[in-house]
Amino acid sequence: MQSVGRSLRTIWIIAKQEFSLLFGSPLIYFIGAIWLLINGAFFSFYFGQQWNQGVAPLDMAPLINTMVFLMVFFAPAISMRLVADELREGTHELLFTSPIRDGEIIVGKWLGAFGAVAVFIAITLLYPVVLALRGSPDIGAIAAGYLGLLLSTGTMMAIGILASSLTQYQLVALFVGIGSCLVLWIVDLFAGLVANPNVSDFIASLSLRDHGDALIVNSIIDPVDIAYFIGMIIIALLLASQILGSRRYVG
Amino acid sequence: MIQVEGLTKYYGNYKAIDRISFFADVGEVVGFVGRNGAGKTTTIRILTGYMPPNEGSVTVAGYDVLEQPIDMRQKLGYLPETVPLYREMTVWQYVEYFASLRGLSGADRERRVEIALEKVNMLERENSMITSISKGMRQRVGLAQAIVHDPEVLILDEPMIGLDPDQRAEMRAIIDEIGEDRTVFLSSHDLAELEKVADRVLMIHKGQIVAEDTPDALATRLEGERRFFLRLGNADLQTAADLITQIEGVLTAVVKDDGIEVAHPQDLDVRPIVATTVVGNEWDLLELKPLGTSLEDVFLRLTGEDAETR
Repeated sequence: MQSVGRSLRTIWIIAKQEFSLLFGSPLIYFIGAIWLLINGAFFSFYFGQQWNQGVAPLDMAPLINTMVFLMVFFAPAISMRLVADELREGTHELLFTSPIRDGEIIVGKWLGAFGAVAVFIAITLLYPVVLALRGSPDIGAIAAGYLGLLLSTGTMMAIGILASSLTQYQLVALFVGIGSCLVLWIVDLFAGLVANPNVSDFIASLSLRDHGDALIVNSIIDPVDIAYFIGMIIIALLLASQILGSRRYVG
Repeated sequence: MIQVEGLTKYYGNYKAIDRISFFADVGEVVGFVGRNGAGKTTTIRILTGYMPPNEGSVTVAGYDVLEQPIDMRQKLGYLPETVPLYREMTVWQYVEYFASLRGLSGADRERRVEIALEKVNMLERENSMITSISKGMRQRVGLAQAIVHDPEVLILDEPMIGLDPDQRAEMRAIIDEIGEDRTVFLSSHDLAELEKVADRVLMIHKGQIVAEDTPDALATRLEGERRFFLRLGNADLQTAADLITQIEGVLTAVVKDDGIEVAHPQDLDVRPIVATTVVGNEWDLLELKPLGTSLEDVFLRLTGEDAETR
């Protein structure tokens, strides 16, 4: 129990550190501003059209889907430096020789970066507030959509940190991260190419977009979808932790 | 305390260190010397828990490095050769971060950070960004993070690199102070520095410990000859050296800097005869100074190479 408490405390220290380091650099403001700008433009254009036609828009799913798709690119851009920078600067040597576990480093960094992205997601809550002021949107559906957005983002951040643990070069981490997220996004398209129905179903079940749609479009909070996202996050973080730890063997 | 038994490490097929064993006691400053590639950094990285060995055991502050890594690292302070720094942090934030990771919190953490920065003379720069301070200052900030939790064992990899003479003196003073009741293990290329600060020296060569003793004992053990330096006035140094070489008992007489370095057997003092020769040739005897055997001499002889072949 004492060990769990110590672990949680360590993760919290690293998360806080990562959060403040991210907001201490211009990169996250730049990425966040672009993400908000595109979402804002979509919001104005898509909902503005409906308002102009005298319709009160109620469905936020298209906007949330856009937010999630943009995260395919923006989540790896934010997470690319998380481990790669430690490896490049050599600061991992001090972390490796501090009384902390490799997994605590990875989870702490993921949590800190996820928290930073969550700040930008929180800013978009302005949109449902605007919708609520001009109509009666389905708050439950919006909440399910935001849950899908948060879980999808968390998964892509975890994949981003996994890519970051592979290299000391941020650009390599960025491209590997975006590539991996894109593959996971469209993996169901490959399912039809496989003759074996079991394998085909399995490949289709890996689709990040499908599980996200269940929450965002269909507004169904299915434990299977939740388990998918949590499972993907755990697998990616475990792999990142193992890869980071393997660096102890190569000096 | 550090206890090392039969430590071996391979990189692929290359054996970086080969069954080395040694200990460093509480209240002892142990110097670790060797050339680049001799196995110093590999040994230090195993001692600090950074990487595991292929064979052998390491105990630091009573904890097995492999079996109890977290407990061991809690008792360890470490300054790597190149001080890794988070460039986005201030001096205070950097030291505070590592204090937190080592379990310090609240007022106690603030107090310990202040003490550590004061000890390395960096308290007045606590709010400076790490990018804005000099290399010597960064070295001191690195030392502050290593000592902030008052570790039982302090391991320093080349701590004098990049420091000016004043900063070196300060670093020696800090090491001396910590070494009074803690274990300090430090590596260095600078043998003259090690002589000043280490109670005991380990010499590593091609992955093996080739000597282990106090600097004085190592020098005495290898002294087969004694040397002195002679400075003359009103004399052609090369002619004088040639003449002194012919004196019975003189092993060598070599012109060096502005004088002559004379070597003779330990049990035969030739200084009176040399002095008589100087006076007899009407040269002015300006200085006659005994020379000790330096740690560098010992190291070069033990590793079987002289300075020119390095």
